[in-house]
Amino acid sequence: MKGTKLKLILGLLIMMLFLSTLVTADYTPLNDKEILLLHSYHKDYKWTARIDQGIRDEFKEANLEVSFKTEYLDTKNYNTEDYFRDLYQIYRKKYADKKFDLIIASDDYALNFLLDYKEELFSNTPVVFCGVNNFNIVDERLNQDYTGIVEKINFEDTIEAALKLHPNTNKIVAITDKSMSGSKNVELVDEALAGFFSEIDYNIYRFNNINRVNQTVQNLKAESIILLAGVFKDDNNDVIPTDRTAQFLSNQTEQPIYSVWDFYLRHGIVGGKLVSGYYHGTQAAQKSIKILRGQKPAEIKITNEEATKFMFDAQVMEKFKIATDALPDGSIVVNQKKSYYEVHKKLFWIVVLGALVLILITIILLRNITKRSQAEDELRESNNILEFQISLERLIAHLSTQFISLDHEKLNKQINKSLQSIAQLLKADRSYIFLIDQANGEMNNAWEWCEDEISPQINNLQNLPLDTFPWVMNKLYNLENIVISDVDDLPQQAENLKQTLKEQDIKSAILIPIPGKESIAGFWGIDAVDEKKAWNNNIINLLQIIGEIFGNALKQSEYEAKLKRNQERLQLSLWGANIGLWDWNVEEDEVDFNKQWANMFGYDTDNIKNDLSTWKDMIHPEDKQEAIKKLNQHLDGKTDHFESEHRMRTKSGNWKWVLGRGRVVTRDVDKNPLRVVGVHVDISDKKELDNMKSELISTVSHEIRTPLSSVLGFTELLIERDLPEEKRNQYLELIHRESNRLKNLINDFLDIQRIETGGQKLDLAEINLDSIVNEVIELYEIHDDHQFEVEFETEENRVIADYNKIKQVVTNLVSNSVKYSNKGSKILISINSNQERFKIEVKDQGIGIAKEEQKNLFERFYRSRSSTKNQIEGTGLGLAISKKIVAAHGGEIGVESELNEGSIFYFTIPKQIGGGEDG
Amino acid sequence: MAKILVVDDEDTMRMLITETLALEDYEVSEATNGKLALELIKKDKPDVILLDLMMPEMDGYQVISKLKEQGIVDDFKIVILTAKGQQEEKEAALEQGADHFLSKPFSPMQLLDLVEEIL
Repeated sequence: MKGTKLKLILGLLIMMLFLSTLVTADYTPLNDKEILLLHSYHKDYKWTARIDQGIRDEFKEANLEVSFKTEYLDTKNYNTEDYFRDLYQIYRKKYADKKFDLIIASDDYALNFLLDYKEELFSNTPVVFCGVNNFNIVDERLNQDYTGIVEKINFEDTIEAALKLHPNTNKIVAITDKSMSGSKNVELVDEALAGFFSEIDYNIYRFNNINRVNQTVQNLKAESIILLAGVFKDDNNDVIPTDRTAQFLSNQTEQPIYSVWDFYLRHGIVGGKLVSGYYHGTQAAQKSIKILRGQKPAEIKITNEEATKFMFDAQVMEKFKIATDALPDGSIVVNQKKSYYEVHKKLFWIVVLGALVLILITIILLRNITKRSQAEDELRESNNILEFQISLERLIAHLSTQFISLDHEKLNKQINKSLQSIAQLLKADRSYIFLIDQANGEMNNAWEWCEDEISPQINNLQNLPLDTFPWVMNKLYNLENIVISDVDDLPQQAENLKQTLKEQDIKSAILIPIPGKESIAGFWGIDAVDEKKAWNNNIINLLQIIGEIFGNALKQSEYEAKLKRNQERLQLSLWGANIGLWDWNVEEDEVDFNKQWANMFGYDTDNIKNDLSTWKDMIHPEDKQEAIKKLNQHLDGKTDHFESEHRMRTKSGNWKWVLGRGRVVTRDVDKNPLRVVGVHVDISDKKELDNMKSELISTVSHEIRTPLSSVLGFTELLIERDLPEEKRNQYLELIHRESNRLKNLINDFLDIQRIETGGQKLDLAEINLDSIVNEVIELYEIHDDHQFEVEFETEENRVIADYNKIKQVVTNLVSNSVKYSNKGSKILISINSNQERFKIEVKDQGIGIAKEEQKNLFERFYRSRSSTKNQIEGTGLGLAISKKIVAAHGGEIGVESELNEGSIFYFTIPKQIGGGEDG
Repeated sequence: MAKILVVDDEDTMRMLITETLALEDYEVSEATNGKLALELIKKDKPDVILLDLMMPEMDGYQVISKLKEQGIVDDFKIVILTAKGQQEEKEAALEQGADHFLSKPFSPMQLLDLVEEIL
């Protein structure tokens, strides 16, 4: 439904369009009409050209598209009857099948030709003529096909005007040509001039050749007027273009030239009542259009009126000093002296345009210049920034090398130097580093540099609690850089910071976090006091790098300090424990010993050879095999580590028991050992101790077994055999004695055990030292042959002590003296005192004790060499126990002795408990 | 009458052995150390030597070695008196030329039996 509706509307529109064209146009459409333009003269003839143009323009004006066929009869050059006949023939052939809708003929020749031949050539074709001078209305040949415009030349008006303008004129010379229209013109001129006969003299000439004209013109006297009424030819009989004619003539004479045709105007004539060819053309066209639209030629009146106007050339007027207001009314003045503007219109416009263009260019250039200058400024600015950046980058590169491997002292110096360089480069007033003490929740200004006039703040900024500037810390912990271009722009949360900065007159600042182990180690920054600074991102990034450099340097220094401490500790430990360190490079077979290692064997590190064979050679031959075996086992990966106890030779040739422990620390891809590291521990003491222990054990076993054996043995004898009473008593006594011995032995052991586990409690009471001594002596005097003497310096030797234990000590000393001296020798026991303590001495004349043994005397299980030699029994525990007891009382025990010179054993008891040193 | 030499540095031990041997009719001589023992061996040529291993100056093992050196070790019946834990010494001595051993403490009856056995 919609589709058909659309089509309907469309159809309606088209119809309306069609109808409208019909309605709006009150004439039939004229497209495709063919018009023949038949011109009497030749193509370039001005008059003809003007007519032709007028025709075409008129048709154009009327918006009609017709096609024109133009023929030029060229009758200025050829105008004989024969010629016309020939033309007729030509046209006949040419237009045999052609039918024109209309013919427009210009000038007489064309009309006449048509009158002669139209019926044959173009019968029934309407003709519109124009520019015809000799029009004979009564010509028979003029039928209903013809209409047109007659050229009416008005010589009278021209002459009259001319005479008015040149009042002094006494002669008029009229020059016409010899053409057909020329003859007509002569008639007209003559007629016109006749009217002025009374006033002036006149001559009429008929020339074809310009030179004849020229001659005439030149010969003219003053006060003459030339009336140019013809068209002339040159010596070759060619028509001279009319503009040239007029120009030429006007140059040849000083007399004014007047004419009746418009084509002479502007070329030298003054003016006149001029006929316009153009006007004829337009008129002819108008009539033609009417005919083409349907009117019959007969219906259209032949225009017989004048188509002339007064027209004058202003410049020529000026030449003859003719004023404009002297001209007849309604005159058209052409060629007016253009105003400067008029004349130089082109130049003017060129100049103006040129100027405008120049101005435009100038504006553009100026804008460019400003833009350019702006751009240059920006470039300079960014160049500056770039240069600045480069300088900063260079500084950073320099800094990063400076912080490599610095000890703590140099680090300090370097940091200060760096802060200075950075601040100066950035043109800041102060630069600083803060370290954060997480443990105490504080920050400290660790390093600072400031400009001379700026006051240093470092001392004020110590131990600042971290929560003083929460806004700052928040950002820093997030590893955000804080860029404060203008301190006034700080947000509310940073009020604290704002105040602090303002107090110090700081206008802008940057704070950069320094990364650390956990979050940040601190931060560094710069202040500017005098001006606010805008910092760009690249710069900030570079500053961040500096922060990282500081962070690394601090970390490094911390590590180094730690490392140093660790090394010191290790050295100290090794030294303290007297442990030797060895480091064996298996491949190169080089062993590094430390100082302790060397010292252990009496060497300095210089005079020890650094290889494995050194070590091997030092091992005791008895232990060597086992030690090497153990080493190889570990190297082969069979054991977890290497451990061996063996003797090694010292520099002085002695054997030292050593515990070697080590481990392979590096293996190659094939699991071959590359590096073994280990320690040597001097176990001489331990070995000695072990020795002593095993010796003790065997001694003890022996000591226990001996009395036990005899007890068992004798009791068995008593049981098995019936023995006489004497024997029986003897045995029993022996049994008793030996049992006692056993008991003592066991007691001694138990004592020692107690002492070792520290379960020694003193049963303190006031004791009498003299009585103790006397009691001990009594005991010994019974069985012993020694001479006992006592010497008590003071009267009453009372002291607070443990009675039993002190007695034990005295007994022990006395027993030793008894054992280690000959029967019958003297044993002297003395007690003396001073303000602080009592001293008990037991002096004998026995075998004495060698100096080297004296220091070992009071050690557990230590038995003098001489005891075994001389079969002296004992456990080696007595003196050790005594020492412990004495020490528990706060006293001292000691010996003075020389081999074979007897011994003095002494001990002291402080009068005040705790008044002596702990043994 | 068998001659028995008792070599021991312990008085009580020596006394026990001699008292024990006295219950039977043996000719007993004593030495307190190895050196004296060798002299007596040379002089008396005992049949049995009761030799304590652990003695000062010259111990039992050394005595046997000396006898071995002299090539007369097999001329005597040597009984070494050992304490527990002297395994190596015991073996060494036996190897050197000792014939028997008796570990302390021993029962006197045991000793008598052994001597009887040897002789």
